Amino acid sequence: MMHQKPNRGKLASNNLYDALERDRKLTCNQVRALLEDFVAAEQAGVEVDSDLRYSLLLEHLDDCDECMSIYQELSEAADLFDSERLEYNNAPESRVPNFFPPQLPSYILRLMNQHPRQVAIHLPVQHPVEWVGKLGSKHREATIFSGLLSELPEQPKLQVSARPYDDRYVSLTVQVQNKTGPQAWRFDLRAGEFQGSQTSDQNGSATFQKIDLAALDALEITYHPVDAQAEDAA
Amino acid sequence: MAEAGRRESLRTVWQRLSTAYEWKLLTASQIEQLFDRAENIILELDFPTGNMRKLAEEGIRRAYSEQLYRALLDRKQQAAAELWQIFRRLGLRYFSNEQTAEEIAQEGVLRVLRNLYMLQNPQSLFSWAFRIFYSLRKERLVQQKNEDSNTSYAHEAQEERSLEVEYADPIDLIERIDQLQIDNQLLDALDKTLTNKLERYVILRIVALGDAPREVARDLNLPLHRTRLAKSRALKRLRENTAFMHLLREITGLAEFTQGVSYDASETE
Repeated sequence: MMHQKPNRGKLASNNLYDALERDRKLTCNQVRALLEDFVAAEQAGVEVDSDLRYSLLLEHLDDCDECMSIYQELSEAADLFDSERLEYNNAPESRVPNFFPPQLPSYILRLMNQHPRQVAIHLPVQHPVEWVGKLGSKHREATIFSGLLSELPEQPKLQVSARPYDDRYVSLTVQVQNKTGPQAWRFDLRAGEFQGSQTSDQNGSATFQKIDLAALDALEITYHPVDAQAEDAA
Repeated sequence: MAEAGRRESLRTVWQRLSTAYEWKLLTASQIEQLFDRAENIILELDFPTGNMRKLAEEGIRRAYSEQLYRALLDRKQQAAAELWQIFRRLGLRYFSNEQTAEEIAQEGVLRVLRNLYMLQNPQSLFSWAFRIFYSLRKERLVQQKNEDSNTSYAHEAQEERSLEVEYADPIDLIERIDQLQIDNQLLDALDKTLTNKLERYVILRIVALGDAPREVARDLNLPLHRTRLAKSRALKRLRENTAFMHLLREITGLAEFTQGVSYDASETE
């Protein structure tokens, strides 16, 4: 039964006006970070509409189609975990695809040129990529490859690592370190649609910005010494 | 006492969910650790004293998300298979044929694997996967639309219709509105602007009359989130109608110029 409330004739117009004219006080990113907890609270029976902690979020939902759409999705999917309304209709195991095929070779190396030495490396990217939160979530790092290229006489150490660039892209750092000989390189990198060239610092390290790691199956790295004479001398 | 009850709820919920979804990643001792973790997660929520079963479901869902996240990084096929089953269930809700559901499930898991590094909080793996699913669903609908515009239109029309359902219990709203003496001019304008009956009903009850959305959803026999959606859509329609907004400003005494304005619902921005 509904409560009988006092006469609110004028109040009704004012309520409606307030609902239509208020400004958004939270950004979409702020709201999206709160939505999972909000839906959980709502499902747990919390009276979110009368709880001041949720009022700004609710105002935002009234006014933002995209956040409302995410709220709808989370709410609709939430009942998959309603333990009193479960359906037992899994597909037989035989129909589940194999998501982790045998490990690919860790790299394929080609010597493009002896003098000056020019090396091309095909580096498969194994998904999922594991990130390590060394310095908090914004400063996580993932090692794509770390190892010695033992086929080459100077046995350089190759390291490729990724860091977040923004919400979608990463920065890739490529480093080649020889035990002896040149340490500065000219790198060419192809990563999906990305193509770029960089000269390394004296530690043999160069960074490429804004790469869509999720879209990558492999990296193509080519390098040669910046100073070819130095290599000959070595 | 509350702790014992919570533990018991966690066991019950785990038993049901792990059986229904064939969760097999954990050993018996790891399951006990999962309960410990789920309890901590519940206590960290802003609302640790809500409905016990729902809290247990939330705790188990988030704690198991963490386990699944770890197992995916370890490239365990069982983890990917469990996620695939979840995607498939969602797929079957929206697409009647199994093949489409399973194609979407496969694409969903691959997308999770490729983008896993973007997930900031492993507890949110399931929620994040849901969003990936709905994004795939939209893509599939667009694809269908390109292949057969009629099919897709039919689906969209069905979605729209689902928001136009007649309310199950038509409480005598007109009588209530009469009692509240809402300005007739406003009611008339709402009728003209909001042609969708559900939207009009929801806006009157929640916004104008101040009834709790949960109460309105119950009266309508609709999920709460669908009720909120109806309200949000109604507000958008009203906001976009300049003539309605002008009228509302007049009624509330906020219009700067009120003379010579007549309401015409067809006049939109």
